[in-house]
Amino acid sequence: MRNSKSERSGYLFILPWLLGLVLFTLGPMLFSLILSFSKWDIITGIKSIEWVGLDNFKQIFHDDMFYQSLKVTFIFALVSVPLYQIVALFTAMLLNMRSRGMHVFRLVYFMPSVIPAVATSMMWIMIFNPEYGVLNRALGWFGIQGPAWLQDPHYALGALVVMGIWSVGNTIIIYLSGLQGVPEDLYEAASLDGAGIFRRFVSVTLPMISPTIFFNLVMGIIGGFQYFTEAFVMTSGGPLNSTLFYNLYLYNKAFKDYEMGYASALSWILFIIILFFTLLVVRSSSMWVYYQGDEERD
Amino acid sequence: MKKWSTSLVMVMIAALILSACSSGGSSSSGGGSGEKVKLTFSVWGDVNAAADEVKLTEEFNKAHPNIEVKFEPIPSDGYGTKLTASLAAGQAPDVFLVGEGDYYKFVDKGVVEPLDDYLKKDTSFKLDIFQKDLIENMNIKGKQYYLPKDFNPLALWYNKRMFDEAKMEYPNDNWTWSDLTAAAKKLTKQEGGKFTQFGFNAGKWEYPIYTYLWDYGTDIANEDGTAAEGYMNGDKTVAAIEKYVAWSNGPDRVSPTPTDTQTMGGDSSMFMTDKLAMMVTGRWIKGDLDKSDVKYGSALIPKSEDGTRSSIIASAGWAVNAAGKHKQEAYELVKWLSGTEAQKLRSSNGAVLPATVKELDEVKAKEVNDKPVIEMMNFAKKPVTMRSGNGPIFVEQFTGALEKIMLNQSTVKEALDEAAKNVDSKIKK
Repeated sequence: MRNSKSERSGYLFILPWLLGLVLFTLGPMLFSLILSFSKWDIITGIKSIEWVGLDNFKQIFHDDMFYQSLKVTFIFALVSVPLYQIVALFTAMLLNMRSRGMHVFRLVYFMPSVIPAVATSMMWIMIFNPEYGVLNRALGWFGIQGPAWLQDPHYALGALVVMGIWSVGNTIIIYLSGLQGVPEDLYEAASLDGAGIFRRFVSVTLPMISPTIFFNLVMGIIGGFQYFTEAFVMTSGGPLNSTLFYNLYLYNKAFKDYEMGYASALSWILFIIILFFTLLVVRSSSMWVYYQGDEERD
Repeated sequence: MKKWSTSLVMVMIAALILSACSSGGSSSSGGGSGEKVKLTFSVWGDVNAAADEVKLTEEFNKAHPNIEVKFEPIPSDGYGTKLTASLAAGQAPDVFLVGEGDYYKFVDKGVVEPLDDYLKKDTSFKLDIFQKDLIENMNIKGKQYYLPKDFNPLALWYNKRMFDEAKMEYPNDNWTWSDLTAAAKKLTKQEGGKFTQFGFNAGKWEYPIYTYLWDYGTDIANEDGTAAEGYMNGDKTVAAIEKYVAWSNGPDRVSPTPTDTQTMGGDSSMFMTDKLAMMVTGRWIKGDLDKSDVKYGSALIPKSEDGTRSSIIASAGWAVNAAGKHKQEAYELVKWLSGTEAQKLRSSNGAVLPATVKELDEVKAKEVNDKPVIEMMNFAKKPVTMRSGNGPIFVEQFTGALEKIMLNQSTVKEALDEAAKNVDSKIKK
C-alpha cells in the first residue's frame, strides 16, 4: 500500500504499451480464439458469427490441403533451420577474422537483410528464370541444363530454401557478436595446451556461444514455421501446391475464401506446433547451453 | 496480481464490445431536415485512372443540391480485401463496384440491395437503354442487383506483323478451331531446339477454356451449378480438354506452356514483342497494347465445326450497399453513374465500350477494330461463377486439375474425375 502512488505512476508509464498489447495483440488473439470455434465469412459483419463448437478442427483433420501445407512447412523447417544456422555461423566466423576491409564484407553480408522481402523476391524471380535467369546461365557454363526452378513442382521448394540463404544476415550479425564475446585468453590457453583449430572450435567456441546458438535456433524455428512472404509473392503456393506453406494456406482461407473461423482454427494449431518445438528446444537447453558465471555447472 | 488480471480481462471485454458496437450501419451520416445527405462510392484503380468518375461526381453534386457524394477509389490490388473488411465493419461505401465473377457471391451474402423496387417507382429510367445480355448478366435469381459501369466481351486478338511476315491471311469470321490450329502451327517457330514464337496461347485462364468447352457442347457444371459429376469429367469435356492441352504440350506444341509464358514475361508482353500471334482475351488488353508499337487486330473467337460460337462478357456493375442508410439517394447515384451520359463520357476516348445500345451501335459503325469485339456479345454465355454461389468451388478444383494436367502429373481423365468428385463432396456439405 505504501508504494501505491509510485506504483500507479509506474502503470501510467507503461500504459501506452499496455494499451497496444491489449488492443492489438491480446484482444485480437482472444477474438481469434473465439472465432476458431465459429463460422464467419466477415462480409456480413460481426452479427453473423455462428458458434460451431469443434467443427472447424474436425474438418481440418480431414483436409488434404492442411496436410499438404503441413508437409511443405515441416520439410522447409527441417532443412532450412539447420542449414541457415550452419551457413550463418560459418560466415560469421569468416567475418570475425582480422583482415583489411572486413567492414566492407560485413556490410555486404548484412545488406540483403535490410532489403524488403518483396523486393528480394522480385529479384530472385528473375534470377530463377529458366531461360534468361543468371542462375541457369551460370549453370550453362558448366554444361548443366538448369531446371525451371519456380515452375517445376520438384524444384520450387528447394529454390526457396536456397534463396533464403541469401538473407541470413540478421543471424550472422548475432553470431558475430556472440563470437566477439568469446575471451581471447581462452583461445590462448587452449593453444598452449596444444589444441588445433578444430579442437578450439568444438571445445571453446561452441560452448561459449551456445546461448547465441540457442537464441538463433529458437528464432529460426519460429521464422521457419511462419514462412510466408516469399512464397506468397513468388509462387502463390504453386506449382501443384508444392510451396503451399502453412501460413499461405491460412491466408488463403481467411482472405480468399473468407472462412475466418477455419483460418483462426488453423492459426491456433500453428501456434501450438510452434510452442511445442520452442519448448522442446528450451527444455533441452539445460543440456547444451552454457552460461558464463553459472557456477553450478562444469 | 489477481486483481490486476481481472482488470485486464475487463479491458479486453470492453475492447470487444466497443468493436462490436462500431459495426452496423454505414459510414454515411446526416440526412436530417435541411442537412445534406452524404454518400460515398468506390471503384478499383486510382484517381488518375478514374478521372471520369471524379467528373461524374462533381456533376452529380451540382445536379443534386441535397446530396453530397464523395468518391473514394481503392487501389486495384487491395480492392477485394478492403471492400470485404469495410462491409464487415459496417463502414462500406454506399455504392461500390463489383466484377462479374463476384456478382453471385455478393448477392448470396446479402450485402447488395436489389434495385427492382426503385426501378419500378422511377418512370424516367428504363433498363432497355442497356445491352440486353449485359443487363441480363447483372440480374441474379430474377432480381436486378447491378447496373453496368463498363464491359469487355472476350474476343480473338491477333498480331498483324506476325501474320504478315508468314504471308498468311488474318483470322476471319468463318474460322473454326481447326483453322486456328492450322494457322497456329505455321506461326510457331523454333531455333536450335528452342521456341522463339508461338501461334496461340492456350493458357490456364478458365474463361477462354469455357468458351472452347461450350463450342463443343459441354461445361464444367450443370446449368444451376450444383453438380460436377458427368459435366466436369463428362466424355465431351475430357475429349475437349485433351485437345486443348495438346496445343501446349510436347515438342510440337503451338502454344507456350505455363512455364514458357512465365519465362518469357507473360502472355501480353509476348504478344507485344511479336512472340505470340493469337490469344483469346478481353478488350482491356487494348490499354496495354496501345502503349507498345505492336500491330494488332481483333476477330471473332473461332466456332466449332457445327457452327457453335461462344464468348463471355466480363463486366463491372454498380451495387447499392444493402446496409446503407440512404438507399434511395444511392440508387440515384447508381443511375447517374451507369446512365447514358456516363457511358458517353467513359467511351469518348475509346478506352471502354458504352453499355447502352444506341451509343454502342454508333461505335460499331465507325470502329473497325471493335466490330468483332462487339459482335462477340451475341454469343455470350454465363460461366458457372455467374450461375451459382458454388462457382468458386468449381473454379478452384477445375484450375487445380488443369495445372496437374499441364505439368503432366496426371491424365486428363484422372484429374477431372478427381476434381469432379471433390466438387460434389464440397457442395454437399
